[in-house]
Amino acid sequence: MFYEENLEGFEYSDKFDRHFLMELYSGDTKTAEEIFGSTISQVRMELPLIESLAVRGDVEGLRRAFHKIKPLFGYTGLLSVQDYVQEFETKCQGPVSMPDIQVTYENIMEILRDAIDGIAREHQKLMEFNNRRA
Amino acid sequence: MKFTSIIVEDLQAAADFLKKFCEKSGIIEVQGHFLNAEDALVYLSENLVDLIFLDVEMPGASGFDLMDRLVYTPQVILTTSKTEYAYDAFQYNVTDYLKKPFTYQRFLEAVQKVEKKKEEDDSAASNDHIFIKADGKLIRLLNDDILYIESMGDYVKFITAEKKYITHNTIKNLETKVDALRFMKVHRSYIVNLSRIDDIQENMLYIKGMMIPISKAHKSKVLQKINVI
Repeated sequence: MFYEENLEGFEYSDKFDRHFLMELYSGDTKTAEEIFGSTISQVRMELPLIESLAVRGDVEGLRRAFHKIKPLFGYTGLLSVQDYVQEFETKCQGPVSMPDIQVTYENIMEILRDAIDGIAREHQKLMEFNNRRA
Repeated sequence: MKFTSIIVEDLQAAADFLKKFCEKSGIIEVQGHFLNAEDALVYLSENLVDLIFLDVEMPGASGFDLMDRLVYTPQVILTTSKTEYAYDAFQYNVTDYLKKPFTYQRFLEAVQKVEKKKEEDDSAASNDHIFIKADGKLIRLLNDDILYIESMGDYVKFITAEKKYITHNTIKNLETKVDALRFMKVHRSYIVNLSRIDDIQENMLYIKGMMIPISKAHKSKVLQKINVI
């Protein structure tokens, strides 16, 4: 169920697209907490796999892995991160090898780690907010 | 009307999100979530659903591969983060195409399309067949081919001119599921295809030489239904 009673009161941090999150969750902070939580778990699970694909130089594997995690940044209101991931996914298409995309790869990984830290902080904030409301 | 559905999605958060929307809608019942097409196909080979929420790119077979291998045609809503699949989606005649992440409003629009398509399909009288679970798979039987259905306790036997199929079901349940214009219960243990009756003598009717009892309670209704001049 969506919990309409949470329509007001929670303010997402600046780096998140508040308008989009409001549209997505209609103020339902309990669902937002769950989705932020499962996003963190999933990205943390995928990161080691992504790193091993990069070490092996498996560019198509990287494309698929980034394609998979891309929507997670939409669900958490980090639309610019989602766009960066899309750009990287596009770069991985076609005849490219790891050295061609190495610098972009390192940049995107830094963006991802920073994004995950931000999502984890926001998840904590959501939990505290929902616990206070409970 | 409720629609049964499954979610085929390799991203847990996306599936969780979709489940919430389905719950909120009150008309979409999610029977399962599968992380890949292969597991979903196993489920679909033994279970009928009205709707599949289907991701395209997944480990192993893709969403399009899954659609190629379906033995029946539930409605499909593609859920993907890529717009490039729109042309293929059109080719596969999917009901809608949702780009992740999507809002509840957009989800509801997709559900409305499902309802509309269902109405169109029903009114097109496309129910010329049924699917039954037998021999570990879903088997399509044309209504025309079914001669009669016989009760065997918790099982029933579908008799066609070619073959007999035994499935876990009851006459009572089937009475409401089969096409009422074509089939009729004539006895507590028998439903017959009215168009396949060869003759009726006393309290028996005959289909392809097979004798089927008509109960006293059903006889007048049977005579009303068949075209006696």
